[in-house]
Amino acid sequence: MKIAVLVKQVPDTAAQIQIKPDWSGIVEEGIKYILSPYDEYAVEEAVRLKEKFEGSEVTAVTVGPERAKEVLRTCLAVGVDRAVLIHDQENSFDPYSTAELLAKKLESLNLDLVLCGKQAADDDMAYMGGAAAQKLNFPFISLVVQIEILKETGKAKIRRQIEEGEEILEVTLPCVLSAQKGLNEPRYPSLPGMMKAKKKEIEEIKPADLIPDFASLAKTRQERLQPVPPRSAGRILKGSPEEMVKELVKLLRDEEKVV
Amino acid sequence: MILLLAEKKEGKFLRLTQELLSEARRINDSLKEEIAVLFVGFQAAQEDVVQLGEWGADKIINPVHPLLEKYDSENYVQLFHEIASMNSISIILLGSTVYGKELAGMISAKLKGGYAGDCVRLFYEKGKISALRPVYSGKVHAVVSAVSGPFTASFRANMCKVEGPIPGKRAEVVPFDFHPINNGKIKILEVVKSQDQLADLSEARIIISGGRGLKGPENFRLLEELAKVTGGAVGASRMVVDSGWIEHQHQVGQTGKTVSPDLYIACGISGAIQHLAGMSSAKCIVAINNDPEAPIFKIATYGIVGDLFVILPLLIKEMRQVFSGKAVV
Ligand SMILES: Cc1cc2nc3c(=O)[nH]c(=O)nc-3n(C[C@H](O)[C@H](O)[C@H](O)COP(=O)(O)OP(=O)(O)OC[C@H]3O[C@@H](n4cnc5c(N)ncnc54)[C@H](O)[C@@H]3O)c2cc1C
Repeated sequence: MKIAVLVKQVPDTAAQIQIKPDWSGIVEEGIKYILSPYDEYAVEEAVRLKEKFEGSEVTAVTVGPERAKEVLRTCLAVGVDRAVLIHDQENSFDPYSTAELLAKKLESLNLDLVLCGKQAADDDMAYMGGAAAQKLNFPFISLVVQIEILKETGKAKIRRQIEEGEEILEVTLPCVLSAQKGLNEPRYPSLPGMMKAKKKEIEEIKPADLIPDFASLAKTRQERLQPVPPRSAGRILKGSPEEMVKELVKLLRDEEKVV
Repeated sequence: MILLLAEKKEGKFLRLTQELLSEARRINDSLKEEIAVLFVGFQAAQEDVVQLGEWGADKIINPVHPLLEKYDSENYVQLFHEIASMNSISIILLGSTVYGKELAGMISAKLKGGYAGDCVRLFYEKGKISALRPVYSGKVHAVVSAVSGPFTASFRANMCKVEGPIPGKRAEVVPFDFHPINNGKIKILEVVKSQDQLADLSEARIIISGGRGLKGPENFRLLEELAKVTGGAVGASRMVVDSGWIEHQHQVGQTGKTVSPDLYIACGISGAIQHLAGMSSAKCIVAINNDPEAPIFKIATYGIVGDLFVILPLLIKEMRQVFSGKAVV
């Protein structure tokens, strides 16, 4: 199978996020970057499929600045074969342009399957899988928790989460699937894996080499980041357990009107 | 045209549908366009027409086709494509439901327009359609504006103010002749309904959530009881999901669900930043924790420092009294 995984480098989920004084972005100094948590499931699944189907090849693709190479190395260290960085030096492309660039690259790979995380942990957009699928004219299924490839028929049986429970679907390959927690347990990179990953070459692509007039693609603009009005710490109730509970229920009913 | 997708569950419109219409009405004070609701699959009944009209719809686009009766992403995207080719659409609104989110990205890519997911507000600023959306796990808000093409936004439940109905306002129902693509690339084989009635956090107005302080899976029954009494759902921290005490469906936070109920009661949850990512937009947060230093108290509206095994039974008793007079919807 030829598989591609869309990955993204994001700030560690525990990072303190500070907005730049001009509100144009976040202060990057001091932030530790990681592979977006849901992407880990996508990468793991790709590598497991590769191990299952001989002759498979897995390519990880990201759009991002130079530092995004670190997450590509993480992918290579756990068994991904090839890594591609499409340069977005300022980390400023809008989602639509990013999808166009990714799709353009994916088109050239002659794929059976594209995997991605259900959303990136920085912008929580949940966009790229569906958008890339549209551009490639592949079907798309989100929130996947199980994948069974049916080699003979060129299809896959998919289990995915919905509000009321789960859906079991059959999808024609090639397709795009977004990974939900529960798909698998991602492995940790091994030391030899990390050593090998260091030596592997990362393919680097300039956006204009994929789409010459890509600068005119943008459909949205991030105007600014702004602080969230802080939630002020509320009231700690006092008294015996009985008194506290009585007061709480009274507050919820009469003040907050939520019960 | 502002176009929004109506979603129903068990025969009733999701509250989100009314919320989307309210959001559409507000931005339409500046845009002054037509507000159209897409009602898919079945013939809209008279009561649907009345309801959507009073909530603010000018028009109900009502394609009826067997292939649209159930959710089918390929045909739904095709439907939006057909509608967009015949109308000038400025904004498309969907709820941040599983289907809504899946569709929104695909539709915007297909229509070569902009996208903003999981928005909490839509507004008109300096001549631009703009949306406010939490980013970095809700630590920051981003303002995104439309540059070109129709602007598609998915909306988080329970975040925007619902406008009152406009008595007597009627929407015009327009049939729509849909041409399905029917290539059958995706087939739903089976829907496995969760037996767990308390797991649907998506539109729950009250969520009772538990963490490691519960000490063991058997004690979730305290939360279940409180949830049943209050008509709420049961949430959980990742710690207890990873320990296998409860299914992942219940997990709230960075790698779980993002919820904004009216009331979130966190029991034995420390309040790690990744947990807060999923619930800090709740209207009212109650923390029950025996550690006065627990970070959850920094964002709780009301805090009880105490042993949850003492507090919860008392709370169940009190809530039962409050709710006994009320029909639980
Ligand atoms: C990439 C990543 C993603 C993550 N995603 C999520 C996520 O989606 N959701 C999530 O929740 N976490 C997530 N986490 C984990 C998060 O960092 C915390 O580990 C987790 O939320 C802690 O769960 P907890 O509050 O149940 O447990 P603890 O932190 O152990 O807290 C237990 C609390 O119970 C209290 N307690 C104990 N006994 C009692 C008692 N008898 N009465 C009252 N209180 C009592 C204690 O004082 C303590 O505050 C993520 C972490 C990472 C790294």
